[in-house]
Amino acid sequence: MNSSNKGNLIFIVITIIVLFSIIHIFKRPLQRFTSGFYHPFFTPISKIENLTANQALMLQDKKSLVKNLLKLQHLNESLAAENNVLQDVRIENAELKDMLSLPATPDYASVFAEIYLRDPTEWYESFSINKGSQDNIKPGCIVIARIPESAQNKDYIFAVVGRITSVTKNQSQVETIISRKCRLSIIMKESRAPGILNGGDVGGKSTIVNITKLPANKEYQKEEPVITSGLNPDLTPPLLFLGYTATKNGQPDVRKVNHLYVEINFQPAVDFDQLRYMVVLIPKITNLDE
Amino acid sequence: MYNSIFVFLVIFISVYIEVLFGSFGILLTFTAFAVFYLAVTHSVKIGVIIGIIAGITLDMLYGRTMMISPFSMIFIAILGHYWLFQGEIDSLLMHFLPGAATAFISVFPIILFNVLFLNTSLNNFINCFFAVIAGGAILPFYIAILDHLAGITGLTQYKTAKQRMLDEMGY
Repeated sequence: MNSSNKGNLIFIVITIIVLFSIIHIFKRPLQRFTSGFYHPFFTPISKIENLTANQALMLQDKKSLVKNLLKLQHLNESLAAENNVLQDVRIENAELKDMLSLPATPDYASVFAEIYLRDPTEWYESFSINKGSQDNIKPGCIVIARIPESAQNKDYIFAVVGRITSVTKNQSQVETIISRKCRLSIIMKESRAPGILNGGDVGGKSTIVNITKLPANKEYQKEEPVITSGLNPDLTPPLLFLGYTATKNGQPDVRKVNHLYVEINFQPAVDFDQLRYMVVLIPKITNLDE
Repeated sequence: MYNSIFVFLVIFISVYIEVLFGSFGILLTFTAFAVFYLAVTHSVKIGVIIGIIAGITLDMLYGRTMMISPFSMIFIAILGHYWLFQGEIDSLLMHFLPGAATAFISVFPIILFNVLFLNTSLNNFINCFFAVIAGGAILPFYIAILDHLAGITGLTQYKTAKQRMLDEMGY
């Protein structure tokens, strides 16, 4: 190798190292700039998409629309009444905690969001939603989605999708429970064993998520519900549903690691292929003056 | 001035279309094609600079963990420069090869990194295969469209790039 080639090679290596460092130092401002710059151009697309989907309603006949409207009105009234009772309970709970000088339990505001952009190379692991810091979303917030009704999950309506990792003004990045970057403290509902989410795997037919650091001395059942533990109530509410333990040869898919702890696979309740709308839970402290 | 506007629009629209298709799960590497085209029609230096900017934009919009695209784009600009010297620039059908190579350089490192370090699905390699085939099929049409627009606006064209370069070198 002559000196000119050697010089070029050193120059290329130094350029790559410098570029790599610059990108990582200025990652946040660059992210804010690019998302802000492209935001006005991507918003109309999702609006058109929603408009087209809404046009499908126009194809229904008047009778069925009126029938559905009345059904929703009844449901709305019963939910409003239920909500009223729950609000009273919430205030009472906050007052009692205040009297006992106990720390107030965070309440959660919900923000409805829609998938904004999705990377085909990380389809199941990560995506961005169309709500950001201007909607009070913060990194760490839990994202949940409505799950299809079935005989198995009749007790649950919503399930955990993932966690917010980064936020810009108009959009937020979500790491799903399949991603290794989304660590959540969970608990097995029947055995009461605590564990930690450890990422998942998307196979040909099924999606499984791994739970690690579960106690080895517990008995685990097949199709046991997995729920959030609420160990960090400032960000993650307790008792949120994630899925059911997967079965292998009719037994729960359990694996002992070095006789120290147990790993279990479970099937997430959310269908990540069909996912479009979701709710972000934002913690807020109950204000007694309200 | 018009050249700069053309370059900006080509990159802006390519990134936009790529992210739009990507959000529907379709992996088409329009940004890489734009960098390849600009590296041939302008120069390898412009290709590298535009490639770095476009790569950063693409990775930021997708919220990728690792910024691999800016580095892939550098190699695509170099591929464009190499193709100008060695390749068959007049035959659009021969562009299946650089199209497939461009898509491969753009997508494969990202998928490999994701599979090795982020434990993503191995099914992504199938997506990579389809992206490479689609890349080979799309690049000739992409060049034809951009060349047509460049011809209308009187800007540097792809089909005359080799002759222009030889003239500049005094051959």
